[in-house]
Amino acid sequence: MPKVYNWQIGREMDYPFEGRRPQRQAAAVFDTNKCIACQTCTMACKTTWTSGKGQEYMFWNNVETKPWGSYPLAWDVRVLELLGPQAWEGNVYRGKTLFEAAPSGERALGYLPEDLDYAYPNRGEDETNLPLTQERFYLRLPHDAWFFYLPRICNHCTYPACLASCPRTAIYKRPEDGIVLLDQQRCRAYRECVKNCPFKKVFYNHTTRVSEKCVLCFPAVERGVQPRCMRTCIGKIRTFGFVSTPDRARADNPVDFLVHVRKVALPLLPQLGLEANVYYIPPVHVGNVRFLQMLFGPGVEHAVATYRKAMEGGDEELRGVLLLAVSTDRIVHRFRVHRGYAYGYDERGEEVVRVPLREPTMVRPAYDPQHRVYRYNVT
Amino acid sequence: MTRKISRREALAGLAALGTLALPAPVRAQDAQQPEVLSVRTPSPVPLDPEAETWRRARAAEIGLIGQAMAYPFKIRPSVPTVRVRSLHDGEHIGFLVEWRDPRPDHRTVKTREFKDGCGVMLLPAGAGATEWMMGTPKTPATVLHWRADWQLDLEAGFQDLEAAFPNVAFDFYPPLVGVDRPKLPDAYPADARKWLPGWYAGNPLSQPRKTTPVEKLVAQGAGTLEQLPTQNATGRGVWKDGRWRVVLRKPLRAADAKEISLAPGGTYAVAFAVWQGAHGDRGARKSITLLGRLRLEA
Repeated sequence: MPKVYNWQIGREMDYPFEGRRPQRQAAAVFDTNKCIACQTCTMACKTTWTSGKGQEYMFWNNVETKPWGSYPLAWDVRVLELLGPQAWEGNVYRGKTLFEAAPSGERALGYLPEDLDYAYPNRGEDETNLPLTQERFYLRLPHDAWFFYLPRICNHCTYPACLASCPRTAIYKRPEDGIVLLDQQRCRAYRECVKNCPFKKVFYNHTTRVSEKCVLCFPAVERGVQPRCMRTCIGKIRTFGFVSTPDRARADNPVDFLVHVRKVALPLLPQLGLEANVYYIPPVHVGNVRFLQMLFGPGVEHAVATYRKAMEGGDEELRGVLLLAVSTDRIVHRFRVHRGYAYGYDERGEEVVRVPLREPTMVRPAYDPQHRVYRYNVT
Repeated sequence: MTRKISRREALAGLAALGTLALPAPVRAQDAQQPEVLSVRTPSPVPLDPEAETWRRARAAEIGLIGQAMAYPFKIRPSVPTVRVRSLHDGEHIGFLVEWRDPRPDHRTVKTREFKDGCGVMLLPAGAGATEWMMGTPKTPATVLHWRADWQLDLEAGFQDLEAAFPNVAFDFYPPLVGVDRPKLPDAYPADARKWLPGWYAGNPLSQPRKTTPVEKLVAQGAGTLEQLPTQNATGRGVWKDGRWRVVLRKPLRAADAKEISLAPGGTYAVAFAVWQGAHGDRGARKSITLLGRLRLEA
């Protein structure tokens, strides 16, 4: 099997195809500290792409509550259980990836969910990691009792397991932007992709009887516009753009800055070996660091410390780039923080957004003598 | 002239095409090369698997092996043997394929539902171990694929969502506002099909209106299977007493460029495959025979 380099695990690994990176790789950073699980992203995706017959159960975008929530049921627990205990050595993963752990005659390790596994998309919602007894109802950081929201879409992996598993190459990765697509004309419904995508983001359409997956709103991306789930985000948690490999990281690229420069954004389950391209800023309030390390790899403590420092008033650049998230529909390719403002520029270098680091505030007296009314406090 | 593939050649083919050592459960000693004589019958080749005419043809009981050449493998065959008969009437050739199956699996609506099926692969005489793996670009393989799910669609109407999920609830399906439980295909005018991507894109698997349970395909190597433009193969399967009896029939003369043309008196290469839905068989996960010989009576 060919060897490819996966920077997220710090080593070469087996993959069924030769490593060939796209010209650029579409990617996103989700700040879990800001997600409120309003599911606006979920509904934006649902109404855009999966409102047809046979797609009822499909959520190309879903938001689940960790630690107990999951869609489909226990997808992460089941994949990690299949893989078994594995080890990191610093930033190098010494365990087996899903490709290296593939059973004889298979491309990758995986399982095919039952229909009932898709029946509880809100299971575990807002449940804390442990029962809330009275003595634990106090606030300090990190929390003993905690939960957080994990919004999930297809990761448009550099080394997709769905693509690797398709016996007839009906799944392909676009060279121009790395978006992973499933050819609706070519699919013959073997469901190998559904089985081997560990994130379970390929779905079988009950009516058309072929499989489907997130298309990352490629018609929008081609026009320099962000995908629907990103630009409708109420909590403004999503930064969309393009990620480079660490050696080519550009400090003025918002995604590169968060992933490679400040290293606050981490991949989901990097140990699986897919080099997933949706990155997460881990929640700063979660007491169980080992749980976060299991989900996001060894960079968790550094990411949490860096993020906290910024939120306490330091690191203007980091605060600036995070303020640009969902502040424009356009894809921000370059950013700059200067004299209290964060600026975002499109691919042609034109300014598409300008956000103040601190919103101007005005204090008005409670009574307005001109209109002879008392004002409500509004922000 | 047909060249028989020796067992050694077949094993060499297996080894060359992906496995250095044959997994033990693919028991080559059980594998047999089909030797099928297509008997000429004055009456048309019957579509009914239980028709008396089939008794004219000699039954060949052929050992099945797993598939360990193209990923994903099927290490153990789902069923040990398949019984094959063949008839031709100078216009059409038919195969009666029988195998044991304690439970018929027709439906492919749910994620984990896989259908029963069987296949006949036809190649020119002289095809060897390389062509056995779904043909080559130079020597395309013609494949007849009988599908239990398509037959159910034909006999009982298109098996839509409600067939597997009778209590499904929904408000409406865009753009069909106000249409209660829209049924495919009639409730879906052309402009509404965008919401059914596979159908809209023209995927033959997604077409709700079936005309035959036997798909006629061409393959030029593993993973290249494509439906041929002229779908003129037909057939019928009957499951009774724990056994599938399936007829697959096609015109002798090719209708499409890459399709094989057969002629009375001719000799060809042939292999058979069985998919057992209950075992999760689909695509390359199939039980297969070695490549053998098909001779048509003059």
